[in-house]
Amino acid sequence: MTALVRQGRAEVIESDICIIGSGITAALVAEKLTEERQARIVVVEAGDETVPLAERPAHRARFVAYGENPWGTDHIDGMTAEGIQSRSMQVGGLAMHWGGVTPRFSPEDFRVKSLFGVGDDWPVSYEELDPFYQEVEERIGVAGEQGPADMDPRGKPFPMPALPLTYNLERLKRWTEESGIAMWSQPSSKNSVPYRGRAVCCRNDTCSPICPVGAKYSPDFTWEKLRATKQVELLSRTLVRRLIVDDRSNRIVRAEAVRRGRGGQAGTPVHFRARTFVVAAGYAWSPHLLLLSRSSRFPNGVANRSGMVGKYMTGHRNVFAFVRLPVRLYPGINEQHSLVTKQFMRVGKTDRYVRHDLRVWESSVGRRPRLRDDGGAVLLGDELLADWRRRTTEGTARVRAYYDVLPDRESALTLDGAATNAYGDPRPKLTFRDSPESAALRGHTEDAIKALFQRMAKAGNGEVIRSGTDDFQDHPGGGCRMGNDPATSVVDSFGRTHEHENLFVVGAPTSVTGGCANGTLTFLAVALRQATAIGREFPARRS
Amino acid sequence: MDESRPGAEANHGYGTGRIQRLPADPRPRWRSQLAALDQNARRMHGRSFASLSRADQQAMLRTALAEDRDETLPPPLAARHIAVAMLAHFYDSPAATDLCYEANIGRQLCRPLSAASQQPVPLTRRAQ
Repeated sequence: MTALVRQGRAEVIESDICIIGSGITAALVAEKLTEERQARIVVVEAGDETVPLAERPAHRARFVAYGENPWGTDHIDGMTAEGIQSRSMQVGGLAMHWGGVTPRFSPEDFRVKSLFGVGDDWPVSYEELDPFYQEVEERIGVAGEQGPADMDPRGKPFPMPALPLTYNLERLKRWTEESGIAMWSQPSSKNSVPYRGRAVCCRNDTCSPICPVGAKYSPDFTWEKLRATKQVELLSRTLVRRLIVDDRSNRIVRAEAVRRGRGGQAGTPVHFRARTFVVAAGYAWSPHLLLLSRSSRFPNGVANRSGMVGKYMTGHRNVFAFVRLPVRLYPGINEQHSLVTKQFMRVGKTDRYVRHDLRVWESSVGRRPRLRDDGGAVLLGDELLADWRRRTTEGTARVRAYYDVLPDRESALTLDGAATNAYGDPRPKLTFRDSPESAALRGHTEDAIKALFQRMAKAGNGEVIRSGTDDFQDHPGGGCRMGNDPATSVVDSFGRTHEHENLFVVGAPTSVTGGCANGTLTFLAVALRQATAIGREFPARRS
Repeated sequence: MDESRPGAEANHGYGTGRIQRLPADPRPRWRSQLAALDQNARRMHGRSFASLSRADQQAMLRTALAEDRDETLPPPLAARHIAVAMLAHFYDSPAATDLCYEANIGRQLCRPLSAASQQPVPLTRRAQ
């Protein structure tokens, strides 16, 4: 399918489209390109092959029994970074052990500057993305419940019925209704019915890190199909280290990589030549590659004349609480499923800016068996069981709100001058920073959310057992953000870099803000919109 | 337990790039603790620990655990004392949860999705 030649020491692999990275964005973009275009596609992945579905039950069993990492060699020694939030690097990427939680952003998330005068707008609107959201939901399989139309607009129904609310969530939903909050079943990429050859969820409670039956979507399913039909060539254990720009134009002419050696052996060089390059290596390794690709003509790296590569790293923070409620719950019915609402994603005209989502789960916090009683006496045998039973006559709800953090320009990924990987390349270093306006809102936002939790507890005749704020920014993105202005962005809304006509960046790095919910579905919708633009210069596939 | 891999890579923590390892092999420590319980039983009661009454066994365990100030049950492999490891192993099981709630919850077991909305069925007296 692809041409292979040897040039000096380096192996050369030629294709039409070279996709760098094999995570969830790469998988969906590749799938769409193969459906729409006649093009030779090569996918390059630094990590190893992932654990096949057939082996996952055994890996899960060891995770449950001993706490072992169920994903084997899912990262590369030395390929890490200060401030990174996951080491996952394998075929399928981080989405091999994601939670499969797939909310859409709210329409307001794309227009915070226009509507509320804070942060920045995205160069695409919710309305433009709606059909692409639908497309993602159909490709990966999302089970969901339509929320109230004014909070949760969508053009078509979910492709699968919602995961049923558990007995616990039904009880908790009644509680939130007493609190004046409308909640519904969290959309999830977990099968509520058989879907595209994959099994139904069987509530084994370990969706994250590992689903043993394949009911949760993971990118390996897409790769397996595309590889089996020889529609793409995917090379694992191959680390792209540089993008090389043509001497006479701004086109990227090749990606220089190294095939990782085994057992400490040095790798062998390999060059990828293509007409189009798509960087789909996630929020950390995408901007890192662009920065590493510096040369005398491009001393700050490729696509970085504006100095925007690595800047405006995004995410959101959460405030959480555990609430004691006078309700008997049975933790473990389907503990990773939750209720969700978008009721708090709008700001009243006279209100100070606070926007967040809200989720509610069953919880066993404060209800677990314990070794000592309140007086410090050791509990053994029947005493331990009796103590446990006494403390489980009531239930605990876990509540959590993601609030949006507006990124500062210097919320940044940079090259770490003090640390290198095995190939001598500087590692990335990530520093997340709130913009001044966001930092000024932080205390007000967190107080408002904690006050909401207190009101909810009171409405249910319960009490907040514990609350707090996770200090890290979750669901990171940015670093190659999109925009219409080349001075303040790296790519346009179709993922094309402003400086290199045949270089695209897709996925989380293109996010403008982190919104108030998991960003995966949103950056996938953006990427599918981009895939059409990426494929445009190749002949259409005749159906 | 015999199939555990001490020092193996642990499941990745959420929100961190730090790779964590499972604890070192606790079995040598646990074996010596079992031997110490037996020696003390013979010294105090003239009999093996296994042959003591439940009350005497529990009294000895309370003494052995006096220094262990943990209030919660740790992951079994991280337990400092064999007695805590055994408690943790059992009480982390789906069967123990069902016993506590006196209901068939089946935590962490594959179950029909359609039954999720129903209140878990009470355990039969026999099953308890």
